[in-house]
Amino acid sequence: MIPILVTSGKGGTGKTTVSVNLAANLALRGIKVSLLDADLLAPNVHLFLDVNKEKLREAGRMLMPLKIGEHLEYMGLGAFIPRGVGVALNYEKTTDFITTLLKFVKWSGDYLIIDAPPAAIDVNVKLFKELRGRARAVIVGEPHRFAIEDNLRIMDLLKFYDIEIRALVLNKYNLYKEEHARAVEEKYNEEAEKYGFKIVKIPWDPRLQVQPVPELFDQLVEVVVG
Amino acid sequence: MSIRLKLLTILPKLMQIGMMKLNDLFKEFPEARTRSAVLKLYDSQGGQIAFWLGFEGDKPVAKEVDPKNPPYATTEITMHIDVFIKVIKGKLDFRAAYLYDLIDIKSNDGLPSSYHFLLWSAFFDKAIEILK
Repeated sequence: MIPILVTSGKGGTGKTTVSVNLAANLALRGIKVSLLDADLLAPNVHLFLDVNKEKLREAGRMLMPLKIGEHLEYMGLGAFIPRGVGVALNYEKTTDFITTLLKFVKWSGDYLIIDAPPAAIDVNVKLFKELRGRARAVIVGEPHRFAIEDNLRIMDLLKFYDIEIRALVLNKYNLYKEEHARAVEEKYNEEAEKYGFKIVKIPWDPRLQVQPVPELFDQLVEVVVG
Repeated sequence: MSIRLKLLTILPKLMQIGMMKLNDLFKEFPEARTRSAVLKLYDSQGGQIAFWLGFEGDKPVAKEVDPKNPPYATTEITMHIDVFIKVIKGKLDFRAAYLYDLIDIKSNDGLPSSYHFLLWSAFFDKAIEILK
């Protein structure tokens, strides 16, 4: 199983959308894929998958992921906690959850897509440590110049933890002024050369607000899996 | 009010689970047969009470134990008596209480505490459903 970490230096950039669509695209190709919602502050993957409150099952000291169709399975807090409840977990409990979701779920996919929490903070560091040397990363950012600085920090951490950055997604590219978006892209081009990743542009599409649109993610899948 | 007196208000319902419905509970959650828990409740005056929940052979058991020296259980669940009463009456969701950091869960069998939390959440759901 190859872990693919979908991360970013900022919140609200579309990590969950990218994670779900990446997983859906792979599943449509007949590839077995596991989808882990590791964003404990805002666990929303289940909303895209139309998963309601589910009953948890275990087998042999492992939790069973929820089957979503033939090739896709999912696990995350969102499907098991009440709607609208704030999460006030301390560091110990938070990292404990990450351990459960990563190591004590009976994942069976060829790829494990991980929707990470935003920013270079403690929970991410826990994830990076667990995935050191064996994961690929997709960084998601909008073409906004402030986002560059935050994503540079994430790139540095990923390199530090020996996680290969495969792609940087410029999300909602078409919503920004062309010259601004191009200037950001040029800046990222320098980093792409340094780290060896590809830049993939994903346009804003209203359909993505309510459902996966996997066909928009063909290029990303080729870059991440190829 | 002492912790034991407070407990008396819910004791009949607990007995209802223990005597009549516990087998149904474990039928629904067969994996729970391999698990046990010490449920520790405390009050604001420093009072404590503890129950051991689990199986002795094929028989489901819920018994009071010494909170300072409880027998081994795979999990220890600790909360204030007021939190427990709210949870068991269905006024506070067990998961929400854990996420608010009102419940502490300690693992004694090498599994992460959050693993036990997820499993015991389902167990509490069922217990509350039976109480209703």
